[in-house]
Amino acid sequence: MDDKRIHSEKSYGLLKSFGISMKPTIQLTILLLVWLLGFFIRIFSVIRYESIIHEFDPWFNYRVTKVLVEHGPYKFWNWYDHESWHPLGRPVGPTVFPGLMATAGLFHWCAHMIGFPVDIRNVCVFIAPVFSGFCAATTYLFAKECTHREGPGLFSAIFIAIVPSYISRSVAGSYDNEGVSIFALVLVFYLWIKAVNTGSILWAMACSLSYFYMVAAWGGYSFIINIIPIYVLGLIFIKKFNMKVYIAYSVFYAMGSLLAMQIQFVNLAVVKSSEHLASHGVFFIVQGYVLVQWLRQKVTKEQFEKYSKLILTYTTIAFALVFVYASLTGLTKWSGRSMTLLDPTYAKKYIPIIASVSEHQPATWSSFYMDVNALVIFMPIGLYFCYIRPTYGMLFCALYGVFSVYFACVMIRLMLVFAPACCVLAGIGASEVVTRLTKSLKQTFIEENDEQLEPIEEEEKEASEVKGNKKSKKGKKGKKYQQKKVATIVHKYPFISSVVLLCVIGYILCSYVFHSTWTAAEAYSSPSIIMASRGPTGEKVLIDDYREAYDWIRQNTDPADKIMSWWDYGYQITGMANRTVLADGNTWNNTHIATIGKAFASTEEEGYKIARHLDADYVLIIFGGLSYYSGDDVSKFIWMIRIAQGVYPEIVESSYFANGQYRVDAQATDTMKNSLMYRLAYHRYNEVRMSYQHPAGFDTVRNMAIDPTPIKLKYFTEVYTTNRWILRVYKVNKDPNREDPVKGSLI
Amino acid sequence: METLTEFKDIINKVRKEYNQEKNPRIILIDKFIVFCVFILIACIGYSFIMPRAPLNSLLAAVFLAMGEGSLAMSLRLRLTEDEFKGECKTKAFVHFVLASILMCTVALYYMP
Repeated sequence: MDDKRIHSEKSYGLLKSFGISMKPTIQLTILLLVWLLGFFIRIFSVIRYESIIHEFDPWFNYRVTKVLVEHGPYKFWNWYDHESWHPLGRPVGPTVFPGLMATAGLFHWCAHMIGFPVDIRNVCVFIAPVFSGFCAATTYLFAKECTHREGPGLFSAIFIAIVPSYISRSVAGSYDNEGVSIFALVLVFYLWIKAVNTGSILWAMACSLSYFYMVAAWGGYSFIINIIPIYVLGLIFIKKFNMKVYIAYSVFYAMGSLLAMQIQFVNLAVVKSSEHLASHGVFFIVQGYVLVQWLRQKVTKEQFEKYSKLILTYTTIAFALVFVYASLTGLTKWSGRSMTLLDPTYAKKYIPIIASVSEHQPATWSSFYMDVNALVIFMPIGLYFCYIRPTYGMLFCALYGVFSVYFACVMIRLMLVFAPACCVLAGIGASEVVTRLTKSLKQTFIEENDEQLEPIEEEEKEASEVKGNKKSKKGKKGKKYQQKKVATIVHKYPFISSVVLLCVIGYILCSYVFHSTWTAAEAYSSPSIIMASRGPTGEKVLIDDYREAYDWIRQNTDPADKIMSWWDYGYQITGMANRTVLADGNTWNNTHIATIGKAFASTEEEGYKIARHLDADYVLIIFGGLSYYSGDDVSKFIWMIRIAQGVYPEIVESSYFANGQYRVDAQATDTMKNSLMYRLAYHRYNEVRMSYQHPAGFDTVRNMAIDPTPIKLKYFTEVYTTNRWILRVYKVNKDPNREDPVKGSLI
Repeated sequence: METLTEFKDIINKVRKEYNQEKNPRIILIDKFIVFCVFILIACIGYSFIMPRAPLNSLLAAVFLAMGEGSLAMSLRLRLTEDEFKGECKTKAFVHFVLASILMCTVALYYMP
């Protein structure tokens, strides 16, 4: 019996030492595999279709990057784009977040320097999957820094590499700001926690430099500049504020604000917008708090209490007055998008253009499950552990998680900001549960002998010391903490339930991987400009109408021609067709967009006058009635009416509805039937008959047959309709023999 | 009156305690912090009297003063506080110098 025990102890010892020596290799291998997984899960669309830029906004970013690469950074910084927002133009340097383009340009330059002549399009297409690998590595470091254990780090890394909400904005081809900025976000948080844990000026400086990169990359930086001050304020309230946090925040605030002002798009918003107000306020509060704490040591207790009450009331009144004054006089302003976050009904009442974007709608329960799947189960567990065994990092994760959940509920687009918080908290939760279960299982198999009890007692003493000294001792231990581990009193759970629970957790996480792969392949990999469907014999049919129309425009129109279309397609037209547009996805000029909306909503003659006034040569509309394409302009027409109504009250939304219903058939209202959009969309459609089951002119999206009277256009000539009638291009008729009296006149 | 005399006592006590400080580096850092605060107040005060046009110059000066003051304060804390007893002091100075270089470069770039 004794021999057996000695033998099993020896083999256990060998196994343990082997495991410890292999630990770094195993961790590195896991991280590399996570990186590869994150990359490969995002390239479904490249394999299915081709290496192409997706959707709408990425086309603008791609065009700007091409200018950067071909003409150099000075031309890019000072570029005034005359091809969009005709005749106003758009200054690109001060109205764009340059981080993404600069990163792609840098990658392109480095690749060319070392001898790989990669095309800029391929750099742009693949930059987001590459950065997802960086993001996973940074999340590992962040979780490890928060919890001082590698387990949560590894779990968090695998979770964030394949979390569907991050995949949705970073597939290969989705060349948008979020692709690099989520990496920047996690990097800022990692360096912030590192600065808080060490109190070093260097780490705080690194944090502010990465914050500069985040400001350069995405407008979501305002989340960071609010959550870090709130965290510091929270630490003051729960009396965990120490000098390390003071150093970290002061240096980060001063340097970060100075660096943020270098980006032209942000510039003076650092002092003028309300989004930065919290950081300024907390900086002064922190200075005051440290001063007060220092004074407290110098005076007696009663004196301190007397004066502190006095000073506190005065300063609170002063702050409140300053805040109220600044808000009422308009010295600081909340931007429209930030107001929407605080009051979700704000946009619908006041800014229909923000309300019309589908990404800005509130999130539903099903979208949470779709976007983070199994992490929804582990996140509350992680949150619980953050509260019962808090370190500075874990408190920050908990705060970040709670705030991002609120914002994710307000706007579905901000599920993306919630994703890293969810992954880290879920990683903490999963790791804690699995660690406890496996430790208890280990107890069952390997009976610890009596000498092992002493270390556990020491660990208990450590636990009470740690709680008292607010982690300052842990900071001093330095590298030793990895061996000591956080003090856990090893419970012994029943054997069967441990095994069953481990199997259940394993199954849930495997199903998470399957779900993520499925969403990446089916839901989030569509390039939007190419669609696929099944033919009658089951073969894949590619619907390439968008590029067909844009290529036609590029080859058959004059380079100086202007195209009038709804703002969604502006970026694509300038990117692929290389023609001037009237409005694009920047949506900075609401009146201009409302005028275009009015043109579509008015009668043909009125619409023609507005089109000539806006100097448009062609009109482009999207029509999905023949091909079951539900995202067409006829569906968006109601939003065009609403936006136009906001500026031109003569357009009445209710006059387009027949008995409260949105109809396009013979029972539609006259206003609807005479509107330019209706006439352009259904011109010649009454001649089309899809199949014997459908009548002629059947709109498959609205499920009704249109009015059979043929539509004759007087002021527009149809020049091109694509294969499946999805894009239709009309030329604006100009009187060939005399100077047009309408052009240049005011309406 | 009582409060005034109490204030005077407190100030005298603080002054006496501060005079015990013998390390010339710490005294120099403290003077630098006071200088930064003075520059900050002077800039803001001046901006109320005179016009605020080129606003970016004012902001560069204000944030540079705040930043250098914070860095000097951080350096002082790293040298004197008990929390950082085991840490290397030369490292703190090197970090301070690097951070100051970066901050001054950025502020001077932003100023014109």
